[in-house]
Amino acid sequence: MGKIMPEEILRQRKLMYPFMLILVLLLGVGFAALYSASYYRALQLTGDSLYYVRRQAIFGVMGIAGGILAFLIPEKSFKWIVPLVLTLSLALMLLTQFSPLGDTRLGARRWMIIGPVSFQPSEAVKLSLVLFLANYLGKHGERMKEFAFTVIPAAVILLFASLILLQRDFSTAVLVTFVSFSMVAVSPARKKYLLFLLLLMAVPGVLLLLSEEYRFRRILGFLYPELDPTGINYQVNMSLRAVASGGLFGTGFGLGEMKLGAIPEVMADFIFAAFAEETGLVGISVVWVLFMALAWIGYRCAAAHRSAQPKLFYLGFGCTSMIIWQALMNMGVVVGAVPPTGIPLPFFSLGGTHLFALLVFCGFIGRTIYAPVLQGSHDAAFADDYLAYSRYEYHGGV
Amino acid sequence: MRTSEKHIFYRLFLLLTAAAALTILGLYVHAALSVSEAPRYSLAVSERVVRGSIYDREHRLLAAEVPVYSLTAWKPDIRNMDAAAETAAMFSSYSADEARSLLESRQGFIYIRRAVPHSEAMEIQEHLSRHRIAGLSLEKSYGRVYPYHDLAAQTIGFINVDRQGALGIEQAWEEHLYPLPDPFSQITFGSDITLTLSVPFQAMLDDAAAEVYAHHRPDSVSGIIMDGKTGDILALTSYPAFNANTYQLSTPQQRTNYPVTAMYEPGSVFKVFSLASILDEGSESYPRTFHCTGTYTLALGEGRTAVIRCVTPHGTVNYDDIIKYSCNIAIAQVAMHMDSREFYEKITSFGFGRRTGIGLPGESPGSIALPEAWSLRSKPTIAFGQELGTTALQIASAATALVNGGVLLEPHLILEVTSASGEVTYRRERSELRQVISSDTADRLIFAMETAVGRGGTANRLHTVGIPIAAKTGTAQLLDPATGLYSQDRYLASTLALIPAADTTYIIYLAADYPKAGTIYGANIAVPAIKQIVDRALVSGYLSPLW
Repeated sequence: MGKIMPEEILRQRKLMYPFMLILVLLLGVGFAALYSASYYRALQLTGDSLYYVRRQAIFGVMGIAGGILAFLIPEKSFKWIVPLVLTLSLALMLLTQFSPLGDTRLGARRWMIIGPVSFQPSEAVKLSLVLFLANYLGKHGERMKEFAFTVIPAAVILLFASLILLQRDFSTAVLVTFVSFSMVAVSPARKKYLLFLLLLMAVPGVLLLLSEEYRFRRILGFLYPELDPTGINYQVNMSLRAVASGGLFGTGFGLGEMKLGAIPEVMADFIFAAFAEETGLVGISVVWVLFMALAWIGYRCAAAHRSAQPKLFYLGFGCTSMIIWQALMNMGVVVGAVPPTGIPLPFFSLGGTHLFALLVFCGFIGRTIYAPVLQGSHDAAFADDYLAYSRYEYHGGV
Repeated sequence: MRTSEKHIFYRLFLLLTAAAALTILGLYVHAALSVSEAPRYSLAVSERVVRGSIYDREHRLLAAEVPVYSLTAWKPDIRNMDAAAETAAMFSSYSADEARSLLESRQGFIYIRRAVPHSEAMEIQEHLSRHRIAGLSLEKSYGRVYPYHDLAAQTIGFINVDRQGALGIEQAWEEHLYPLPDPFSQITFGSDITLTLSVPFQAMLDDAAAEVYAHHRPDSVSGIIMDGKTGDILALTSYPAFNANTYQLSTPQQRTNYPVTAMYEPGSVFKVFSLASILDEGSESYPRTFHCTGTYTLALGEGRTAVIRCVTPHGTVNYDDIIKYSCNIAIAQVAMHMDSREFYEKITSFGFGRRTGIGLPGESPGSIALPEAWSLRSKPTIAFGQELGTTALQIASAATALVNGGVLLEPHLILEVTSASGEVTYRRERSELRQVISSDTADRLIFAMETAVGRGGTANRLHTVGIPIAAKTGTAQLLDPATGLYSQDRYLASTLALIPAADTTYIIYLAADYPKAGTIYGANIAVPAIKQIVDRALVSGYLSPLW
């Protein structure tokens, strides 16, 4: 038998090169931006201008290891990994909320501290929800049309979203709900069930939205920016000024003034304002293009697996959406298009757990890119271990 | 059908993502390009820190921040140009048309009116929020005010247009007064600094210095009043002075803090310290009296000589008379008996030749050559206060050793530093530096200085009924900067006074550099000025007669 790998099956694999290039570029630019935005405060607080960058780099290295693991794990392991990860993140969320391990910062109980390590369990939720949904939707396929099968993922989403809401992190809850439901929406599930469940969730959602005064004030400030320019909208006004002062080419890398104290939390949620100030429209466009290219590769490669390996499709779709929509929401906040929220900018914002989760997402996206594109369900026998598949020769039309 | 349904949602989602991404890019393009002029937010950055205040020791405000408002426009936010222009005109000197053309002339950030008073600012704020005028706003900033104008201006200092301390305490204590913004809070308050200065004493000294300046036309007048018991500087005068509120109009000379930064040969006032050094080392083997004929020729070897003169022949003088009559010849002769190294060590242990560390910028350490570099005439010359450089601050500080039984105190200018939360982060403690001379020597010197205020003494004009005063005058010959030789008409007239002589509370030192109105003597220039201060202190109750 001729031992040939058909071109069309592996063609997609070539996208690994641009994908890796994009990752390297985004990580490089992100770290540079983080250094520029954080050195001043790092110097002030610790005397070491690289303090935050170093911390972030440790998580980056761990994240790369996590990403490689995500890339390599055989699909059959999902069977036990998914429930494990889901239970683990549920436990972490509960521990953060109800045990002394949780830590309240800036008025929000979103961190968990174990020894010297502190992290945000909501990032684990992002990961485990995407994994769970990919596994669940991929496994049940056409059965998703039944109401009972739609209710289960919706209930899981609701559970985690409410736990995130308990942490007073409305924006992450919205993001997670949005991405998760869009995963269900692109599955064969009936849209009327979905709509019904969404409406069911919308009622407590809106009530929660208006229940906290700060949240209400933020939305009010978003709708009427001229009311209180130094209060609610202070960060957004300052970040808009930063973008404006950046102009076309920016003030020059490292030369921005916003990070010197004008914008609180500049190296976390508003890092893009400092970046925009320093690199101008040129820098903004480059980053935008990089994110769009990432989205294009991610969505394109996910779609290729749709019929034969639905799990891979959902996985790629969910991971790409999670990265892209976080980027869009964050950029939207900085430019004043979205009410101020606490969504980090992937690859840029300070946040170890976030970077770790992000790189794991990238590992999963890499998986969808690298996996051979099988045409029908008869090919799916190979899907379990596509790495093994690629090591062995392809035997004509199996 | 089913597949196409699935694809519709997938495509819809991708479309939504693409639309959101494009919208956001568009918003960035708009935000980045709609403004051609970079906005001035550096103002906002500095506004996040409120500079601390400076007080005198009785908590009188010497320097404070006051709010200043500006009516500004941020062009991209203006939605209704008519309303904005109308409002701008209402609260400024512009007509509606002028305001409109101003707003249309530029992009980005525009100042419509600066220095809006507080009451009007509140009115504008109310108008803006009631009528929802978008794009116009009041920017609050701070201006520095010095309520006492030129009082201790060089010591307090001022802040420049960049709001950085540029002189005195404002400069030296910049990081306490004006800390870097705290990244965790919206606004950061600097620490308040309480000086040891006392406004009434400062005013007395300033007035005396001004009078000396007016009558005797010196280049500058340096003055210092120190609390002899603690080392606190109660007044520090450098005249000519300037008004810190209008520092832009000041000259470099006015901004110089002479008592701290200027080094000069102290002249006869220094005899107090040189004689104290000599007596303390044990003068048992030295002659008891000296004969002053008005000139004294010093053999320098190889046939060269140096001549030391007194103003008049003093005849037979003892140690106390050296101070009373300020006899150069006697102190020169007694100094010749002392070992050079010991003499040098003793003088420097008074603090001469090194900075006091008072914490003001540009403090001069003074200068005194190492004994190895001395010529044969150096020792006698230093003994009557020539051939070494001191600052007024050093003289007053050294005098603390005389009035504290020989223990030198550290001079202080900062009484307290208080953080914004009210916590005292620094409080000056009375600190004894070292025992310089014995208590007996100190008392003997003060007694000798008292005779100088008595009948026939050089400082007899300082005699005050009810208050025993010890003083030493000085008239130093200064170098002519042009020739580098001692000038024939350039003198420093100075006086050191300890008030009252026993249990001294106030050390006053006043020096006039190069008086040009006839008299050159410390006895004629500085003594009356100090007498004026004593009289005022008596009248205002800071000094009480001892009966």
